Amino acid sequence: MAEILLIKGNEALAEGAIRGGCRFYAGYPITPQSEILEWMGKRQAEVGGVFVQGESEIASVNMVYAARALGVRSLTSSSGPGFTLKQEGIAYWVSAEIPGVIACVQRYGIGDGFIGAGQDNYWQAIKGGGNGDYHLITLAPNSVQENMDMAYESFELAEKWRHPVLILSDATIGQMIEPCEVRPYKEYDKDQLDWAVKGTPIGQPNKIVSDVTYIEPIDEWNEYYLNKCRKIIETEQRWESIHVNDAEICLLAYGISSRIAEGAVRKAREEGIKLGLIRPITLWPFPKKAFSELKNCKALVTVEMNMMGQFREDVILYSGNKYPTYAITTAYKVPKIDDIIAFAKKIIAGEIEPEEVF
Amino acid sequence: MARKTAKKAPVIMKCENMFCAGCGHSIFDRILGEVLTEMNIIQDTIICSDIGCNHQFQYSMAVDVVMPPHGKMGAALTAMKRVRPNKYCLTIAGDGGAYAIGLGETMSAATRDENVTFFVMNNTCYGMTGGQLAPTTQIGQWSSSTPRGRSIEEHGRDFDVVKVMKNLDIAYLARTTITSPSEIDKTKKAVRKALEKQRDGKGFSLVEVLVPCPTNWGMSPVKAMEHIKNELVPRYEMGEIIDK
Repeated sequence: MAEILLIKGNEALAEGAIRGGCRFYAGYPITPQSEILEWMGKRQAEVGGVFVQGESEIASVNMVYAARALGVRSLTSSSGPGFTLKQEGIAYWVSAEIPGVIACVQRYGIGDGFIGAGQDNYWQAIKGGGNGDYHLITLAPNSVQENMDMAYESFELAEKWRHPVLILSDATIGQMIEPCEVRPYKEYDKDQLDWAVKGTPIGQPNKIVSDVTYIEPIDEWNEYYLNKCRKIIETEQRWESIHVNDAEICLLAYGISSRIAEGAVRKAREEGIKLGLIRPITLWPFPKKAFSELKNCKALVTVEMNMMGQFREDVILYSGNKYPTYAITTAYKVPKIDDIIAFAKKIIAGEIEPEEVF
Repeated sequence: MARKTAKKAPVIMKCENMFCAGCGHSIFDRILGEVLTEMNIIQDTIICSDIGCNHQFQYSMAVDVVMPPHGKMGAALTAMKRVRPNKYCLTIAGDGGAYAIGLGETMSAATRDENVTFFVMNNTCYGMTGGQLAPTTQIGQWSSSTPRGRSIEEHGRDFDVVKVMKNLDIAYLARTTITSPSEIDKTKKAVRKALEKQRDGKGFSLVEVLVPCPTNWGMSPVKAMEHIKNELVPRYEMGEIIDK
């Protein structure tokens, strides 16, 4: 029988990574993700891995670049302004096709911001964040169990595409305690990858892990890279649908907001209001296939913890702008079920119009 | 007496280098290539590249390479050595990379006494981008971003790695140059010693090499060598400063 732990979300994420074969972690303390760092400080030594508390987020993200270049499954994590500092390094991961994994435990606010939960890293997380054309394969957990499971599988997902994976968690998921089934240890040999740098004897072709700029014919690489992205978009879309087929108003939410949105769907249905929920599990690729399940939908409503409806912009884009699209934005406050239902009633009554900023 | 001929390039050098005429990087790369070949450690060496003129060693040396963002070698080397402790992990850095944008990472690797090696090419300017002010640009020296010459009032004092690192608990710190065969020989000995410190697990080692940049100094290769000898060497503490 599988072991069940009563564990914090951040700790589950770290343990999931350890069980998934992560043997290098570098990070810098920042609330609300420091439990990942602390857990790694304890656990890497126990499993024969390496833990480095970097002198900054910038150092940490580049340590992961180098450790991964040498073949080792590697993770870094951060939040808010620390995630911002890692963006340059992540762009290098993409260009060098380093399958690193990063967890961002979102906190709320612009600049330094606050230490409590938020979902206002969406634009930065999904639209690139660093320079150049890229998205990260982005997983959006909404429970402690998913924090563990997504970290557990993230390395294989990244290796499959030679593309970085982002686990976009948030302070609520990271700090809350839930029962969590622990996964078995995966074996991973750091020497198994052909491209990884291990030292090459004279007479064999030496290996260079580098930004693409310096080593590849750029037109050929661009074509290869775009084809890779197209395949990721086609094959990796994941979502959960709840009462979507007959929904008149369909909510869209990820992470902690999706837990509240699910509660709103169930309570609204008891009142006879046909709410549904599309919960993206991958934010990139965006699960646009999910919209084909809508049959009677009159409006879309995103539920998200920011001020400007960041996620709403993608919902409009990927739904083909076929529906009036609203946002319930709650900034640093976790949304409330009754507020979502009241908002839906206003839409039905024709009392509100979609706006650019809510 | 047998006639002296040019020594054959070591096996690690796979083609002609791509540096400007008279550039010091090409001489240093040859020195490093000879040491790696003579120590028979090419297959056990991973070079962490900086970004700048220095990175062009990749095109002429048959050795494994990891290239992080500009200046971040202190962080990358830390990770490389810790995940593969049996490999020699070293960088050929520029003075801008190691002492300006990457100073935090360089110093952090040094203060932690990571068992890695820095070879820093000090040519007192940013070579690849056209000769702008570097931390090492001398007071009074022209650079393309300090057209009236560097002054303490306008641009601050210059950086001297020996003053900064000489009291750290590190294994090896040396400053050399390449202005003559005997100076090249001293550089080669310092390179070898730094790598032996790493082999023996002694800790952090850094060798700064004063190298010419004729292109950005606006001098002939010969004049550039004389400039190092007459203007730079007298201002700096040279030789082995730390040897543990």
